[in-house]
Amino acid sequence: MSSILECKALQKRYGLKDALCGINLSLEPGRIIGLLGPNGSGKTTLIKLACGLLTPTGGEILIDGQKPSKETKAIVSYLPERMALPTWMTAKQAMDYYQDFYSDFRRDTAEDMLARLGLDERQTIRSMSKGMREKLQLILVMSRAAKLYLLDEPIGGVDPATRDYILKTIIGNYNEDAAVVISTHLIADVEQVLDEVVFLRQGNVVLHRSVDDIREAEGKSVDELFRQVFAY
Amino acid sequence: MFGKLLKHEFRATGRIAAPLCGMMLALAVLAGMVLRFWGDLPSEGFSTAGNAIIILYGMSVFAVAIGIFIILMQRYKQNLFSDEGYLTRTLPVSVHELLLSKLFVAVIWYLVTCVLMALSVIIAGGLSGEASWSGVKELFDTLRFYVAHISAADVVYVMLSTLGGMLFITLLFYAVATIAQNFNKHRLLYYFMVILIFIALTRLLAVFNLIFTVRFAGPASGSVGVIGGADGPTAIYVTGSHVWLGLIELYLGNALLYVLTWAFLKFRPNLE
Amino acid sequence: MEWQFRGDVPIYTQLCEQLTLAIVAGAFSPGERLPTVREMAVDAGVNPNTMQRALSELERSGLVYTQRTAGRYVTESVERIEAERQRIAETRAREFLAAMEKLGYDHAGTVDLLEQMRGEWMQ
Repeated sequence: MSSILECKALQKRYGLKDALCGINLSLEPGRIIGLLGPNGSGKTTLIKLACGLLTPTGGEILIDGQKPSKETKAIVSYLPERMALPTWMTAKQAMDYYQDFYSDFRRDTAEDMLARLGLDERQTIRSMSKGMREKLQLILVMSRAAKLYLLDEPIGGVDPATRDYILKTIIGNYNEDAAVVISTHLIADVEQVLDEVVFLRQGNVVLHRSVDDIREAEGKSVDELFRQVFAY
Repeated sequence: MFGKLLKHEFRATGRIAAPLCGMMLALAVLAGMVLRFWGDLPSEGFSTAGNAIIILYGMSVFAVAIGIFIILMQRYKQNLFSDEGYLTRTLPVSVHELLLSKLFVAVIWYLVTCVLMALSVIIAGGLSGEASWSGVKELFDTLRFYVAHISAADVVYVMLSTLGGMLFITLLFYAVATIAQNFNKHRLLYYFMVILIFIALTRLLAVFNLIFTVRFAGPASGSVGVIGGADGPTAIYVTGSHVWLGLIELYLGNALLYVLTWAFLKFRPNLE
Repeated sequence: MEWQFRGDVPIYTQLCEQLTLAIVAGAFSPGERLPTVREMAVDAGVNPNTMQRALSELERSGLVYTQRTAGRYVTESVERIEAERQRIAETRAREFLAAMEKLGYDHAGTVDLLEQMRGEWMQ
C-alpha cells in the first residue's frame, strides 16, 4: 500500500476507441516520473483519470489507496495542459483561491517566486504574456506541498529559457515525500530531472524503468531509446 | 469549504452583477431628477438628454432582470465546462457542495436584484416629486391590501412557489447544460429532444392535476387571486387544498433535475 | 557552475566527475560548506535524488563529508584533494598519450612536440 498512484487493469474508452487498454502501473513516492509517449498515446487520459476529471470504463485507479474523490483531490496538485485560471483574476486573487481551497498551499513560497519574476500581484492574468501565465499557473501548482503532482505537458511549446525555468521550479519546490509525474513528448529536455520513465504507446505501458538503469544497461539516453521504441 | 465556494462564487458573479446594479441605481437617481425638473428644462437639447436618461434607466432595469440570469448561466458553463473546469473540478469539494453553492448564490442574486429593481423604482419615483409619490404610495396600498387579505398559508405558498420557480429555472438550465456535455456530436438534436420531453411532461402533469382536482378537491374548493411583482414570475395563487399539489410537483421536479445534474457531473464528468 | 551532460553515461556518474573537478580546480575550497542537495540539483538542473547519489559517492571516496545536522562540507585534507588532482591528471595524461600513439607518435616524438610548443604554451 506504499504506492501513491496505482492502476489496476485501467481502461478508458471513448466511443469505440480505447484510449487506455487495461494498464497496470504502480508509482512510488519520492520520485520524479516521466510519462512519455507520442500524442494520443493516453498520457492526458491517464492524468485526467487520476484527477477525477474522467471516470474509468474498466479497472480502477487509486491515489494513495483511494479512488479519486474529494479526499484524493486534496493531496493531488494538477497542472492542466491548458490555462485553467480565470483570466479576470489578478495574481493575488489566484493565490487567494489556492489558499482558500488547499490547506497545503505555501503562500510565502508562491509570493517569493512571483516577486523573483518581477510580477506585480495586482496584475490581471488577462494582461499577462502567455509565458507569464504559464509560469504563474506552475508556481501555484508547485507551491502546494502535495503528495502527488500531475503535470500535463508543462514544457510543451515554450522557449529554452522558459523550459529551464519550469524544470528548475519543479525540482526546486516539490515536496520530497511526493511523487511528481511529468507528461511530455519532449524527452531530451526533461531526461536529466527524471528518476524513472513510463513509455505509453496506443494506450499500453510498453516500458517502466529507472533512467540510470537505462543508461547503464543500454549505454544510451532515454531519448535515444524512446526514438528506437517508437520508430515507425 | 462550502463557505469558501460561496465566497468565490459571489466574487466571480458580483464583479459583473454589482456594476450593473450600481448603474441601474445611478440611472434611477438621474431619471428621478430629470422628472422633477422636467418643466424647467432650459432647452430642447436638455429635454432630449432627459428623455435619453429616462429611456436608459428603463433599459437598465431590463438589463438587470435579464442580465443576472445570463451572468449566472454563463458562470455555470464557464466554471464547470470550459478550461476553467480543470481548476473547479479538481478542487477538494464534493459535487453536492459545488452544485449547492451555485444554486444558493443564484437564488440570492435573484432576490437581491428583485429588491434593487423595486428600490430603483422607489428612488426614481421619490426624487421626481409629489405627483409621483402618490403613485408609489398607491402601489404600497395595493400591496398592503393583498397582504391583509391573504392568509398565512397563502404567504407561505407564495414564498415557496417563488423560491421553487427560481430553483426550477436555474436547475432546468443546469441540467440541460450539463447533459449537453455528453452530446458533443448531436447537440441540436439533443436540445430538440429536451424541449419535446419537457412539453410532454408538463402536458401529462396538467392532465393529472385536472383529474386530481375534479376527483378529490372539487371544482370550487378555493378562491383565486393574482399577485404581481415589479418583475419576475407572476404568481397566481389559489388557496385551497389542491394548489399544494402543484407546489409539491414543482419541488419534486426540482429534486429530479438536481439529482440528474449531480449524477452527470459525478459519473460522467466528461471534460475533454 | 557550468554543467554539461552526455547521453550514454548515467547522470550521477557525470555529476561525480564534474563535482570532483570543481573541488580539485578550487571552485569549492577545502572545508567549504556545500549548498543543500536541492540547491545543487536546481543549479545543475537535475533530479535531487541523482544529486544525492552523486554526493554520497563523493562521500565514500572521502572528498566530502557530512556533519550530522550542519550539512555537507568539502574535505579539509589538502593532501586528499591533491591526491585526487594527481589521479585525474594521470588519467588525462594516459588518455593523451594513447591518442598520440594512435597518431603514430612514440614517446620521444610526443615529448619533442611538447618541447616545441613550449613557447605557445607559455602565453
